Amino acid sequence: MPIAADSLSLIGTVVAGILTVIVLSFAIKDNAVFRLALYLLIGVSAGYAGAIAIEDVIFPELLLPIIELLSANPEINLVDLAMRTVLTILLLTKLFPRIAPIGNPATALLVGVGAALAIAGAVQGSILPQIGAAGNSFDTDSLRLALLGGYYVEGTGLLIQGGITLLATVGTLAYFHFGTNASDSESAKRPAIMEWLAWIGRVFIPITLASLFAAVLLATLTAFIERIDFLLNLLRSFTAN
Amino acid sequence: MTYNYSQDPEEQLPDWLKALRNQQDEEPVADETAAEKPAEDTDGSKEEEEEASEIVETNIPQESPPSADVEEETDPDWLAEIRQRHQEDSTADEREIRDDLEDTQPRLISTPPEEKVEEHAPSDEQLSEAFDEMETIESPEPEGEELAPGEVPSWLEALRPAGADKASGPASATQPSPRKERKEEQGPLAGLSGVLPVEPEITQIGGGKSHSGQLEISRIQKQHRSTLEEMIAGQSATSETVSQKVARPKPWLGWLVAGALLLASLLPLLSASESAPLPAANTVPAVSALYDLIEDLPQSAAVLVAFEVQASLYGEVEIAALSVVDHLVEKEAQINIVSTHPTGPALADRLMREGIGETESYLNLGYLSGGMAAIRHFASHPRETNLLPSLWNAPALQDLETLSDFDLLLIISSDADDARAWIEQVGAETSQDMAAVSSAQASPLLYAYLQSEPATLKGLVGGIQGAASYENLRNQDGAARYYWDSYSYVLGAAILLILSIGLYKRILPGEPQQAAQSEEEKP
Repeated sequence: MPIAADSLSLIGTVVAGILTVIVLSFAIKDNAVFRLALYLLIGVSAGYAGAIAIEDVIFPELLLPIIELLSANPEINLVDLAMRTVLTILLLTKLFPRIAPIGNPATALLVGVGAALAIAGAVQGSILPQIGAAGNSFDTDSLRLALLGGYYVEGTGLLIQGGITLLATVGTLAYFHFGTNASDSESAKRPAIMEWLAWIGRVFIPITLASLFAAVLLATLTAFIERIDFLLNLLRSFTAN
Repeated sequence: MTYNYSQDPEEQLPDWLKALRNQQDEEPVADETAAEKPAEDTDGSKEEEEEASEIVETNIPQESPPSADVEEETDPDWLAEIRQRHQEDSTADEREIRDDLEDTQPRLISTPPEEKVEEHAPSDEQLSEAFDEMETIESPEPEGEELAPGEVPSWLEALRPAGADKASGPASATQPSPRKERKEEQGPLAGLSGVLPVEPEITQIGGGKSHSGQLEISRIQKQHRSTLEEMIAGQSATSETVSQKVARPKPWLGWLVAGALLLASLLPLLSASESAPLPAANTVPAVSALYDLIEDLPQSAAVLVAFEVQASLYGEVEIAALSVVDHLVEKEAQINIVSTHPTGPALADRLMREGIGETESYLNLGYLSGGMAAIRHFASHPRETNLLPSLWNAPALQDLETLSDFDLLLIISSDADDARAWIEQVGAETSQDMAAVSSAQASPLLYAYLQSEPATLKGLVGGIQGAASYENLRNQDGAARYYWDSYSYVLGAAILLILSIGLYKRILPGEPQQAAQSEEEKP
């Protein structure tokens, strides 16, 4: 007997409500039911991801061409299919420790391509634009317009903003600079100017980390509110019915 | 024949006989002087012989004194056996020492004194006389008489080694044997010397040969050493910090935090109040920039949405994304959704159907497997990816060959890394306008791309605050307005809780430690 879509939706909503209450119980104290819900979330997510991978990747990209090849489909690219099959088999050998080294070439290909893409993308998409932004800490065009227009307060603000940005950038970089010059003393120390810049960086780094933590807290509170609203609506729907 | 003692018989001899006698008397004197000379040369040999004989005599085991026999009679059998064994061992030791002396003093021992005497070839008569003298000297003293100790001159006493046994002979003084001088100090063999040690001497801890502990190191090596020492010191300091006791939160504190947050979020939702003001429009430039981007889109513009949202943060991202996506729908844009997360397409469907209420104005391209490499491939050759090929024949995508053909690329992301992957990989391929809607926890990291040179992100809406500002720009109340009061009150409650609990722990710093200790003492 097939289950109606409305009934499935209702069951899903009730299960979601129960799991939400279980997860929120962690705010009071860690308990076994919370861990059970956690395992359920991880298991369902992994199972769903596996199902998606089989349905969207493995079957249409590997199994279906093999089936079509067996059915004598002339449109199948044999070289392409052979490469996919061989690489898949090589990766599958990683499941067995005795023959795992056979899969090293496929793994090396994955890691190498991934690293190359990551480095190239980071240089072109992050590092170079960030260096350009740091070099333009002082918005000279706006500053010139402000001074020409008589907006001296705004111009001073631009100067202060650029100075703070420059100090934060240089100080943070200096904090992670550990090079020293050769000296006769027993303990190697950084030059005095680097120590001062590192001290400035030590001020800005906690501020950055604190802002990141505050952002995580805001995201968590928003998700909490959304879940409370979900439970409230669930109760309202039950009371209405 | 009788002699008259009053008359010298020599006087009665004739002269010729006297002369002959005188001649005979003179010849033995000359012989005697010739014979005395080698006797004088052998004095040195005799002295060496005497020294060697003394050395041998001192090493020759003496017979046990009578007192030992008395002790053997009184001692128990086991001790007598040990003493007998000790005597045998000492005899063996003395033999060994004699062998050592033969090795170290070959001139004194290995060379027999008789050979040296024979070199000077004394006569038999002289030898007999010498043996007679020796017998006279070595003749035992009558019993009851003891040898008087000789007087040792002060200079000789000063030459003696410190602590040396006065009774030891000259050979033992000049050739000390540590094994023989060793005296047992404990146990039943206390007082006995020459006892074999229980442990071999090589295993005993003692002052070995001293070596210099200083190495010749260069200045650079010294710096490396100091750097390494500082690193090790830092590691030890870290371990001390880790070993500190941390107090567990009290149960009532958990109830207090949960109750306060629940009340702060629930009361505004129940009352449906809109008392908290929304952020003013145009206060956040990034939000205004995104609003302007969408406002400037042409009619039926093609928009690619990268939906990189994890299920755990969907609730927050949904609030932030609803107003922006609704704006796109309002502009009648062709929305095409793709995701590198397996759960992304399903969550995108939920957003469009349940949040927006649209089922026709968007196209879900599905799951793009391969992560960063797939994004790069999709940016360069969208139609060659593993997305469903049939979708590319849809009317909305028929004219789209590359990513630059899209009017806008919108990244909806719950994690900064996912958004960064799209920015880096797509930004390197095209100069297409990109904007982002992100979770509040990802927005601080994405702000850097707004201010980069050139700017890779043109607009950003981060969290419920950005969504509220965006709704304010649109003059439409949406999900952000609905949750804004609860968000404001919960945020205030959280700040109060953090401050009050922090002050509580500062004012009463000892109580959590005591609580932790009492919990550890519980079985």
